[in-house]
Amino acid sequence: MSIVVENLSHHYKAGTPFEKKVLFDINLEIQDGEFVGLIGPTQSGKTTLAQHFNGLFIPKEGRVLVNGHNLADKATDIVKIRHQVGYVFQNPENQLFKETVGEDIAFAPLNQKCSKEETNRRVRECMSLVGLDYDTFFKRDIFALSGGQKRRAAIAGVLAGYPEVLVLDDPTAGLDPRGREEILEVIGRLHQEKEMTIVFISNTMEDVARMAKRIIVMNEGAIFADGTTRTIFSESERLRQIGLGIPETIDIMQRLAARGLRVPTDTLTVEETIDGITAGLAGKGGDAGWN
Amino acid sequence: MEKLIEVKELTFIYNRGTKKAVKALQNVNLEIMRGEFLTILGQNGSGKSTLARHFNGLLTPSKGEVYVDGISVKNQSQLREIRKRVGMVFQNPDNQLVSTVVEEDVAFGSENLGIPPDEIRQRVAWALEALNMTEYRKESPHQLSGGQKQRVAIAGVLATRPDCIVLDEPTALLDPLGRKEVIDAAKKLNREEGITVVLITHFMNEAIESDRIVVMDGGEIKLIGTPGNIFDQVDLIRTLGLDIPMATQIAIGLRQKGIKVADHILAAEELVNSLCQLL
Repeated sequence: MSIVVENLSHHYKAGTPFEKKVLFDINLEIQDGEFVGLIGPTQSGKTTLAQHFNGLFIPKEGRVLVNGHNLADKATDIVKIRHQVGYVFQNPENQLFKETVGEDIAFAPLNQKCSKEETNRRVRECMSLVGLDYDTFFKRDIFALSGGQKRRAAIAGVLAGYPEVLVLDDPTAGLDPRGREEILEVIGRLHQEKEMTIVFISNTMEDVARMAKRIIVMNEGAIFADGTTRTIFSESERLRQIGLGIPETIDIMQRLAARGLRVPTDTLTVEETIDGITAGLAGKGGDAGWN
Repeated sequence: MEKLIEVKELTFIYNRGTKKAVKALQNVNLEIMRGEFLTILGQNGSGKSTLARHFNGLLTPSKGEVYVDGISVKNQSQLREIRKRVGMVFQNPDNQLVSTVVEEDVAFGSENLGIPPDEIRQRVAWALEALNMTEYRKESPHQLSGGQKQRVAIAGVLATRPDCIVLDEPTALLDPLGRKEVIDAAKKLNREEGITVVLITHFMNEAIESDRIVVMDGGEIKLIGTPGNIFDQVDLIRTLGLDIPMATQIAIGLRQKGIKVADHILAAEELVNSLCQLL
């Protein structure tokens, strides 16, 4: 499933004295099976842009095509598009509205008029995908869940609609390290095992570095940069200028390189960084630093 | 050093006496010193916020005592005195802004304390300056970035001239620059104004410059120590659902490969300096 955005602009509160242009002439294409990180300072337009991907906003200027279907076209079935492109809002646990985990996750399939058997099958499958044990959690009261569990339940609820693309708006915000790790594992699994196309909005550069293969950077309502994760994060000065940072791994490597150690400066994970430093020190010749 | 907040055998039960009763804190003992920068870490639901909400009497103990500057938070008639001493800032800046102009917003808390207008003006100017927000004083808070909004919220608390500011996950919803702005502001208030800071966070990097770290789990304090001490206990920290700072992780990996990196590495800069000494 591909998403194509052409010359998209957007105004908030159009036609009122508070009208404000928040997206400026956006052009991009997301291919089937991609893992795209969408980053940018607060109010840069990343959420507004992403909410155009499944018709939460219908374009008035420019076009958005999902699998070739123009979202502004009256013939396009927007409800179907919203099932195909699942959207996990920021703090999605605020939207859990049924009493139990099972009932909440069943909502989308029931809404799609799935049979009881099919609904149950999907609930079971999606709980397993997000790592919530069916027997333990199916009847669990939503209020008895931890923060990380609630968020996984909310993601399962979106997955139960069987989307092909999953858009997640800052899915780890406010979670403790273990909860964060659990969510990232779930997202990685959906991408690798289910081959889902992922759009991952995040404020944590280390998470984006680890997860995404391509990054789109938004600033002041426009695309500031679009490229592979390594390319984007190698431009640390440009990112700092707009209030973003670079992952700490790259920060460390850039500082080492500046001090004369020959290391790669585009390492995205802790493991890559350890290997890069080890090789860099070995390459110095002699036995500096070695036992 | 002088004690500012003293927690003695504190137990707290939500919905006490009902079927939904949940014990959130169990026999917690803690002393927070005047001028200290203390970080509280712990998983969601470990009791961090419940504990912190006792520091200015938002919650009162089910058992035990919490004293602020010697005053028991159970003493409801002294609540105003307690809140003059300890102010709180929460996660979502949008829920804490009450006015349409930054300086009015910053004045709000002091107005409620019945401070004369002339003095409020001085305090607001001082608080905005301390948070580097003076140039935005006439603007609408809603136009500001997340980090700026959060600094307005902190300035509002600062203007009441508290002894202590409690920051409950102030950076959870902010972008990287906003996060840095807020943490730098907290450090500056601690260092330059002598404000006692209690920071609750899920970002390990924000804890590394604290004087002490408290680690909570299941309503109890599991560990108290300096950042170097706490993050040395890698396995225990991970068992408690937390993590260690990224530079520390890299240092450990390098040590396993036989590279002689210094002990107690917490910050990127420390790691870089240690490695450069090997060259």
